[in-house]
Amino acid sequence: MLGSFGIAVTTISLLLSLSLLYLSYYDLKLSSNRISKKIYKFSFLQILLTFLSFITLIMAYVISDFSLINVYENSHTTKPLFYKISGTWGNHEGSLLLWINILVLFSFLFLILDENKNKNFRLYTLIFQNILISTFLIFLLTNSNPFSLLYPVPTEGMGLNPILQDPALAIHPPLLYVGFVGSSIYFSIALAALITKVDSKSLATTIKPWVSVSWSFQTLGILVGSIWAYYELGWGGFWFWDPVENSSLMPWFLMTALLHSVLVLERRIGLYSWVIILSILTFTMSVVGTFLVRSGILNSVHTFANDPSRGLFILSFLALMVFSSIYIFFKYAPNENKNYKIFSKESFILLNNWFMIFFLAVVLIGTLYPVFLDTLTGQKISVGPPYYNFILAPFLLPLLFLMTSGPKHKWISPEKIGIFNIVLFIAVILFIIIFILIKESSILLLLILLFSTYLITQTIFDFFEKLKNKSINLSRIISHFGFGMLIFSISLNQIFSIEESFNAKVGDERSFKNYTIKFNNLETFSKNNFKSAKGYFEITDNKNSTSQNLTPEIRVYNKPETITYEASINTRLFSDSYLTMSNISSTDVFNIKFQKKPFMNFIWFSVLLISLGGILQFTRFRKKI
Amino acid sequence: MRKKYLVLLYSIAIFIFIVLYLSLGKNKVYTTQENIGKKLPEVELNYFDKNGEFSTKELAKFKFSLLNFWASWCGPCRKEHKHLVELSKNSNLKIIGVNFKDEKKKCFKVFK
Amino acid sequence: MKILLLTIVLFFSNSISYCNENKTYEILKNLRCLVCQGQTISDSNSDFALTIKEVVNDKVKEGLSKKEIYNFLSDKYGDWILFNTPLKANSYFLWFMPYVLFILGGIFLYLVIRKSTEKTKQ
Repeated sequence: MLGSFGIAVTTISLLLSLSLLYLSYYDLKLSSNRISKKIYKFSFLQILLTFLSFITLIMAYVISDFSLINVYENSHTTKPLFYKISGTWGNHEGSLLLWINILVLFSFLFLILDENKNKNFRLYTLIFQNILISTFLIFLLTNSNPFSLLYPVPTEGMGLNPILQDPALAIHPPLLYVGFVGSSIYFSIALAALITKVDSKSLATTIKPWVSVSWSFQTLGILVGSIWAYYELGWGGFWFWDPVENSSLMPWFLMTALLHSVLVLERRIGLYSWVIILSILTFTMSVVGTFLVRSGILNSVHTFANDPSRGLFILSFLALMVFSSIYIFFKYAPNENKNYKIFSKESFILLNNWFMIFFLAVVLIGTLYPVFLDTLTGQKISVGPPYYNFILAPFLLPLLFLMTSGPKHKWISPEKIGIFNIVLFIAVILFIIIFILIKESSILLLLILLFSTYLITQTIFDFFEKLKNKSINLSRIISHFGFGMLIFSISLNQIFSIEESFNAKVGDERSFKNYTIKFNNLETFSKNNFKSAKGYFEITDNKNSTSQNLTPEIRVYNKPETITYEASINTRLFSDSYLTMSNISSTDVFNIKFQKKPFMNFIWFSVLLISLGGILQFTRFRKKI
Repeated sequence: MRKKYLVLLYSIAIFIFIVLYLSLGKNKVYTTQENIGKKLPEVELNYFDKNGEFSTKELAKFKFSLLNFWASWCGPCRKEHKHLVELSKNSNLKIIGVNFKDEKKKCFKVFK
Repeated sequence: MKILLLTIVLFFSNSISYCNENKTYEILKNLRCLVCQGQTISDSNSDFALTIKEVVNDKVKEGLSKKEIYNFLSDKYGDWILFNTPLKANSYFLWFMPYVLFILGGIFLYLVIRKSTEKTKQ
């Protein structure tokens, strides 16, 4: 029942977006300088029906309607309601429907919010956005239909992978999708701007709010995913340079570059073509990421169930998108007057773009190189964290420096600013204190600490300056401060992390460094959908003789049968204690892994600050309009 | 001038897409298939029921040899056993069983 | 039942106590668990990972250097097992391309800025 209804609604919304394509194309030729009412009506219907199809799927999950293959494969009656709902987008088909919803949402918002722009520019944007929507709807209906029916109807579902039953992972996909699927709107805007020859100022003002909102959400999405990986995977890390993680980072670099370039464009200094290229690239990278994740050509810890036919569809779509955007770009790209000056703010933004594109290239090469090598020569190699750390870490130094000094420069009027000032002096003193405290010997890490201290000190100074001078951009200060804090905390985390792995039985005790770990008790119990073995540990810090209790678990879920290792984490302001245990087959010995993870809270908080800057920027635009 | 760039970009894109297309059907899981044809490294192993060590060098004396990895916890190994017994009648063939990840007590039980 | 097979035992003790811990940890973090999905040996609890942990520990005990252990493992399982990609003919592109791109980007940027400053001077 819900299945057929869902298919009907989705089909109608496909028809609506096709008619919108036709209507917008037709409207282009009309002399009226307002978009016809019909397009508004159709757009409204389109968003209504697309939402309805998504709600239908959610309903099917809520009432556990197993006549839908998708619900049968990914849900179970005993699952808590919250995870029934979040299970809707925890699989390929459902998340594709979410994708489409976001495409439609942005299309609709663009239509009603950017009313004062050139008519044909808006119509072309609508056309490109609806091409994307229709293609993805066709993909959904023909290849990945979440409403596909199953007969006979099973009485029970197969359940959702327990590691996905988690609040962080419930909100992670929607956040991330608003981020990178949201970038579709400036992809469409960029192509429309080329064709209708919109001037720099209005291109910049149109794109700006969309870029900052998608950038903020992308940042938040990555943050939530990272937090999830930290406590759920049980490895104590928060970033693994895994292909799927890289896929979310690549559009982020481009969005960051775009966020800065738009500022130059707005002041009519140049970068018109460059902003267009970046806009096109951002969404292209998002689709590339989707391709890598869903096609299964990469070996990743966060696998989606994959299927080559999906990969083929996304790849064909990607090819079509790339070839036509390149064509449109070459056909319409204007010759522009550039007017950059060394030591002006705009040249620093160019430098920012240089670094962002470099970071993107490194991550892209690292992710795709093994695939290319394997396909072309049959040799298999792995590219892991050592590669990224080795190549990227040294480049953080100039980046941090540029982030500190760049914003001090003025637009258009070049001016050399002395490097030696009170801020640097304070930063160096702070650094020397840190140096004495940590006794770290890696020169690179020390330099990164120095430069991030410099950035942090500078942004704090800027903040007090801002209190006096209202014209300074607060969102920049917050985001840059957040970035400085992030690098600072990650470095300290690297230096102070402790890890100890050993085997123990109940009653055993283990001492190392300043800690003693005692395995007090083991308790087994059964719950609704899993059985669990819970270990009780007492960890004593011999230095200040405090102790804490940690209780890691090994859970065996029944639907579907999966073993998970639940880490037990004790979060303190400056440091987390992280304990996991795993059983060793057919013995009563457990492998215990204890980790001390300092500054985790600071890492999370600084990413939050980075994204807060973007949200602040967005609200400022809305006020102006 | 523009046309030159267009052609260049298109060629790069086509190359990338072809490679990605080819990689779609490939197996991404580790297999031991690549090891076929490789030489056995020299290893020394403890005898199961007597003292001393066995070196894989000794295998050179035989025309054919079969190294069979087994364990008391492994079901298929038990099924294999009678075929191996059958094979061992062939005097040209040397069969070596290598016990893997097991406990000695349990191994002896298997033979009883 | 007759013991027909000449049987040899490879005993694996289940308890792993690492000697020279930091070195062992570092090596384990740079190895891919081949039977898993992109996990490192250090993070994995699979049988394969446990075996490799044991092997690495033994090799460290034998006094082999990091490099020798990596070579030993890549001889057996191929370079696929190494997360710290060795610099070889097949990875020159991987290791050097980023730097080449960075330099090219810098040259391009320099030319753009110089051209635009010259134009404004005229």
